[in-house]
Amino acid sequence: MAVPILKQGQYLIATIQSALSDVDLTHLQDALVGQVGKLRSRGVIVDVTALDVMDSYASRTLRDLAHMIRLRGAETVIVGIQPEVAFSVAPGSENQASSAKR
Amino acid sequence: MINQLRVPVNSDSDIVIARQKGRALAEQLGFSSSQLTLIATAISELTRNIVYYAKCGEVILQRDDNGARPGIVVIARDEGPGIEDIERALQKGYSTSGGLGLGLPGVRRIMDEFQIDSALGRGTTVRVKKWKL
Repeated sequence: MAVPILKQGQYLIATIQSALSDVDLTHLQDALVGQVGKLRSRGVIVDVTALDVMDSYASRTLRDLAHMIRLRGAETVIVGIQPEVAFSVAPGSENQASSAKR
Repeated sequence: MINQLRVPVNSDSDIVIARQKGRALAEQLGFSSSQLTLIATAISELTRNIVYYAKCGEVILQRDDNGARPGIVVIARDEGPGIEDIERALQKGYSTSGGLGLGLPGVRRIMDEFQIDSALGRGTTVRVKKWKL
């Protein structure tokens, strides 16, 4: 399921609407990294409220996405991490999701 | 109440289906919401391993009232290439697929019981259990 990307002035807002497959996550990454350049955006907000799980693949994709977007000249903020999801990610930060968050 | 579910795994989208079914079963069994997320995360990692390494297999989700503590058991089974070095596969940061190598060690961390059985050329079976608190 594709994630809609909304342009709000100099910012892009991507609101995840449902659980995403690995392919969906990769599409989101490609789309945002592309749009940031095309629209000369300063920042990207990724709303992960609807994400049911943040496993190693999702963590890595979001972290890479934030890194690539920084290389493209914008900043990324991940918002809406559910308390249960934070609980699953946090212990020891072993799945490295935490490094993508600001 | 459903006591056992089998989810065939053939593609990327089955990862989402397996974890959603597992979450639904665990919810029926009365797990807390944070436990539901841990269980769904573990199913997601195990199912992804099937898709990546073996291409196809199955995930069995079942209620388990045997043993010292009742809970939910997840069995991820494939007839793929098998794991050459199980010890290393369970270490953080080791991967043969270009991933981060956090899947299996992560599953072991968030579940209460963890068993892995793998033979080269014959496949891999991982059985994990989460106790109901």
